[in-house]
Amino acid sequence: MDVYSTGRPGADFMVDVLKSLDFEYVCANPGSSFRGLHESLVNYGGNRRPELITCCHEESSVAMAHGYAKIEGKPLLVMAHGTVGLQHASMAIYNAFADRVPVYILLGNIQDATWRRGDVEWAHSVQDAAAMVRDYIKWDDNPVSLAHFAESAVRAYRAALTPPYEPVVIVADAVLQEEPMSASDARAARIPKLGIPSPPAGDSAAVEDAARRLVMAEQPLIVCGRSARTPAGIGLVVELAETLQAPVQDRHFRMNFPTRHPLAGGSIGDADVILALEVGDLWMATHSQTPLNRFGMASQSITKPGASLISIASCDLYGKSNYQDFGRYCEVDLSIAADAEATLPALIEACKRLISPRRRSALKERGAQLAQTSRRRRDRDLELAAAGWDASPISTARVSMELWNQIKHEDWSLVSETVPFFSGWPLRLWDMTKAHHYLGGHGAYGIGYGAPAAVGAALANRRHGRLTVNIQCDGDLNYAPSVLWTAAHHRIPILNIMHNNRAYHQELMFLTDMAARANRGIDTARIGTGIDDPNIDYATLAKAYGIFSIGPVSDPNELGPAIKRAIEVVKRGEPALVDVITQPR
Amino acid sequence: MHRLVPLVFLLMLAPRLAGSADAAGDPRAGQALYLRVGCYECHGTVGQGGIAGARIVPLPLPWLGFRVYVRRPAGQMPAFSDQVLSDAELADIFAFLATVPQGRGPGDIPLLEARAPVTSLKNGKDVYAAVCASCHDGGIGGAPKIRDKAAWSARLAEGMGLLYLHSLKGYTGKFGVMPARGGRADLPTELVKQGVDYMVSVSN
Repeated sequence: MDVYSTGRPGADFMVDVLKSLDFEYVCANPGSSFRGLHESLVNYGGNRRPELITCCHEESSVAMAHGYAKIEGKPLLVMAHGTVGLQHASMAIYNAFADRVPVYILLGNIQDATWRRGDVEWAHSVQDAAAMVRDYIKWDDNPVSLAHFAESAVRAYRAALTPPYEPVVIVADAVLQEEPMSASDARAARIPKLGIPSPPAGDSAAVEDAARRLVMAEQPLIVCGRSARTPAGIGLVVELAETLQAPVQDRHFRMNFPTRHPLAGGSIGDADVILALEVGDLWMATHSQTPLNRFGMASQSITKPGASLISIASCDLYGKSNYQDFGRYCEVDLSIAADAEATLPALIEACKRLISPRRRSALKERGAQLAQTSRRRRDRDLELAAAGWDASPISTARVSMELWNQIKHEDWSLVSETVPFFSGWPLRLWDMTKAHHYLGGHGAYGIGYGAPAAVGAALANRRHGRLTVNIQCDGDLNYAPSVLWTAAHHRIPILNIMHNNRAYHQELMFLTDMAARANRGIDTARIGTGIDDPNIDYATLAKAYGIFSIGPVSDPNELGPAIKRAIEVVKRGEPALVDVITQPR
Repeated sequence: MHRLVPLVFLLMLAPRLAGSADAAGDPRAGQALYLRVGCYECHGTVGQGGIAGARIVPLPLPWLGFRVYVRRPAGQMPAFSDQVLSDAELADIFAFLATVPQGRGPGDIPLLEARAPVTSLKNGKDVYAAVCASCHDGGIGGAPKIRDKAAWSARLAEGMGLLYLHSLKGYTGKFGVMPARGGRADLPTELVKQGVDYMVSVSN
């Protein structure tokens, strides 16, 4: 036996399988347990489809895949150690799971103990690699042959892209990777055809029932959570809303409805029929709780007595129970376990059929009133946005509109979550119409999602020539700022605008709350939450990673020119960062 | 609900209470306190508010109401008792907030695009985009959708004069509801007509 060379390693066949699934990129922090696959991807696969993206932390690898998938609608490949790599990646996997996003993760491991040598290989080996994340992935397998690998790899992809989308894991045994294909594998191994199931549409009788309730409602309301699974989903909700002349409340877990549409808005408390489309937090949407920040406080329904609640959600078809991201049980009058986007065409058609000419007249009047309410809400938002306009630290409304002024004529994409941290200003003031205008957020509130997800989304946007904009919280960036280097190294154009409020501000507010409740120490909240003394210089940090940067900017009049300069760099195909000292919220 | 009662009661009494108590605090000391004890965390450094706290500049309550509210707030704000914040300290904070300038309104801030200035509207297409599209793109309120020949031919059958009249004076009837001048009272008659002409030209 020639021990010095192995000829074609088994990883070449694994690459053939992965190429059949057409991954554009593979995100990885290099690891010895998948060195075989890594080498095959580059030298046999040509480092193309997938192309290797070098990440400095496995959390960045998975979060990049999370952001990418929300733009492209399909998964990125991630490679990691089955032990220490997965441990690093686990929070990001949980975020993707809670956000219903497909991520495809390959883990390296040495299953057969007699093939492990030194202590590294033992410490990096595990009996059941996926066990630690099984509660927040949809499917996993640990194939013991290349033929088995082929079948499971294809099945995993199919599982990831059957709604609700979720992360999946396949273990790529290191011995299978590095040794040549065995004789039995040579006989059996083949790459099965991938067939993604069509998404499940709602039962026809239930859809008809829903249409009847909506058409006859005096004050219907459509509530969207993750209803736009693809860009086409936005147009379907618009068509339904305009057919019914019904308002739409977008909970912004995705871009579901145009922000300046005259039907955008509506109130749960006014509605007699509520249609919830993929609303994961439906109980939260339909209940109010005593607003004091104290666990276990009283809650009450905010729906009108007699209001009818209809839900169309794919999460009713699939879910897990250990992690509690599914939220509180919500009583629903008509529950349709199906994918909302796949169900909407039939629902729209049923509504159109049921609307009589007389009913149509009544609907027109409702539409006109809703348009007026919409205008009044916008006027109110403008009043509030003007408050603190010239302040330093710079108001979040000012940052939003200085940005908007410079991107509004571009094909732009806002890839950061903006509701709790930035007072939602872009959603309230910008004209958002397309799926890539807003991506929603982290899924499970795992902070550290923001920076890498933004770079992943920017990677997807790059081939479409879009201007990617990321409003970057300072606390979030500090978990794994090295993803800035990944953006520089791979020439990923992205405009990062720091929301630098020099604190883990949510926790800072909580600490003041706790102290006030305990009647003591209300001036100690910055202990353990402040990110100052010294202030972190994010412009210098960015430069260290090879990124053009400006800052810190604390004079609002300097913000416009700084953004302009940074956009010039981004349009050349490079990342840029502007450090802005901002109001806390 | 019970938490709102003291607030509502105080707001009703506000005009009578406004000048009734001595709230002479020190604005400078108040600003230092406002930052040190964390009011800025939710309300912003100039009281502009945001998702975590209400706008409090200009002050929404007179001194007595302010003092009561901070001790027993109605919403998500934590209660600050006199054990952690004395009346004198609160008076300083109140005095500080009373001195914070209100700043410009949205109409004076071009970046807020409160509405497209009339001077920027050069032709019917501009008017359509700025004023009419919000309803006529989607058929809101019965508005004939742009490029919908069937919808427009029904309106045109009644003559251009009537179309102009409805656009200028508003309309409520069998076709739907439209506000006068599309909700823009500042739009000159000539521009309204140009907007109508544009829609007819592309929908006919």
